[in-house]
Amino acid sequence: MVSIGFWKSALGLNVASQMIYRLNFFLNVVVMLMFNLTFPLLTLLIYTNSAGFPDWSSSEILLFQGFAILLWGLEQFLLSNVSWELNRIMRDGQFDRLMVSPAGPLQFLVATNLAIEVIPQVLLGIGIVSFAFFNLGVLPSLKAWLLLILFIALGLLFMVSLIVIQMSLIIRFVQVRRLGELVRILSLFGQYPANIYSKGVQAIVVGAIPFALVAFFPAKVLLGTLGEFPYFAVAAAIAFGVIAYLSWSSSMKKYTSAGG
Amino acid sequence: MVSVSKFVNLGLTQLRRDLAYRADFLMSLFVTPTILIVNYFIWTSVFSTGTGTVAGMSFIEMMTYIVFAQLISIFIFNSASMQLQQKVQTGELGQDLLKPIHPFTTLFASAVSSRTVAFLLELIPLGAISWFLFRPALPVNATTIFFIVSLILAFMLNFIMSLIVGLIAFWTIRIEAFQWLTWIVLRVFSGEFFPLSLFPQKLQLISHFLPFEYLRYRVALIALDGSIENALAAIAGQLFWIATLGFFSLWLWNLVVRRFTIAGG
Repeated sequence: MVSIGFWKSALGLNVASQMIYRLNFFLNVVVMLMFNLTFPLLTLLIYTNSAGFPDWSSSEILLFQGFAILLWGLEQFLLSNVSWELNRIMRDGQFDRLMVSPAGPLQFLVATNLAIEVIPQVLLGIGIVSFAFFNLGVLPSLKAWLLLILFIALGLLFMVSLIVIQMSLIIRFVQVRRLGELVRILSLFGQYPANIYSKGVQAIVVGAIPFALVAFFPAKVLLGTLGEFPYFAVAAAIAFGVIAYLSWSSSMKKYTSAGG
Repeated sequence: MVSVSKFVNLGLTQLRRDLAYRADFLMSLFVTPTILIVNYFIWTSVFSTGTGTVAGMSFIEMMTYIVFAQLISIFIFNSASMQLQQKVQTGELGQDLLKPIHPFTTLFASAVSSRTVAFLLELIPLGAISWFLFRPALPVNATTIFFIVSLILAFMLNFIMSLIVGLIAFWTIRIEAFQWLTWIVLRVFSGEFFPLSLFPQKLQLISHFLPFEYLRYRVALIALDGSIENALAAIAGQLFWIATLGFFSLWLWNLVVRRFTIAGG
């Protein structure tokens, strides 16, 4: 078991190394904010130029976007730098070094590569959710709050699992630079309410690749318009967690050095 | 002066590098169609509320714009800034300076080569998905030839902009953040995700004085509106920015080479 001290030291080193290139760090903060605000910007422009999406008022869509920014922010805080770093060390043949780390390769990579530049985005997400929530004046029940926590946890599990699966593939195939891009592109389906898609696509984003857990269900449960409990989405998120665990374990067993 | 055969050889070398990682190469075939599909649902949903036009565009015009914006994005992409940065960081530029070919020529050949294959390959899924989803009316008109010229100029303009971003690595060493920043600003203000006519008037006015809209928005409009006057104005704007930024990149390069020599190697 690795101690909390390990995580504290890793985080401290991470902050110290980022501060060597302060300008780069602050630009990174701006970049991450701008990158993650691109799609909310499109939504804002849609709402200023048209009636917007059916069944979503501007305050409701703001709540939705707030959850999307918050959850993607949390996922990126944990893992966005990790897959880049893994890509780099796999090509350089340095991954072998991590295999002998007492923390284990995954924990070591996560602890030493937390994307602290994403913290402002997480705070922005919390700010937008709070603003939209108070603006809407809704009063969710205790059950709704509990469901919200469940959906956020499962949404995060799903997104983290996607990245872990991606990392397992990097270990297997070494050079898959655009795999991360593909995951990001697929995640576009979670940036907009599930009800804008056709029935077939809705079935996929709800029950097979549950992007709807990221912002759609959290927003719906707070708005009191959830309807039926999304059993398929919950099952799919758990399945993704299991697949991620198995694929990582398998890639560790089958790993052969790429040289260096 | 670099002969055509040397240029072709440089391009073929890059192509072999690209094809060494086939899975990576083929993955790009899924990226653009996914963007198109998500956009299709967004705009279908928006127009389903009874909105006749959004920012002056009908549903078909909006989707045709997005298809063209994606097509232009595929065509003009290059990784010159990243390659330049790596050459600076690893010191490889020192060797490049001893070669009889200018590093810009090598980078340009690499960009042309990678785009030739990518454009042909990615065009097929983009065309097929567009046809399947909404049967776009292909705007073949008097301005088609202007569109092709403008597309090539957009490629050159984007290449020059990448060189400028890459050259900044000489001063900052780490330019990842700066690269990402310019990448996002470029994509949004060039109209990759949505037409600039969605922007508020003031922002549209500002964008007229910047080079970004000449990368995608104005090029796509040539294909859409069929106006020869607009096509000529867009091409004139592109030539102006290519000349201005081209001279600036060469000036920057001379500064950089001097600095590189002083730093030793």
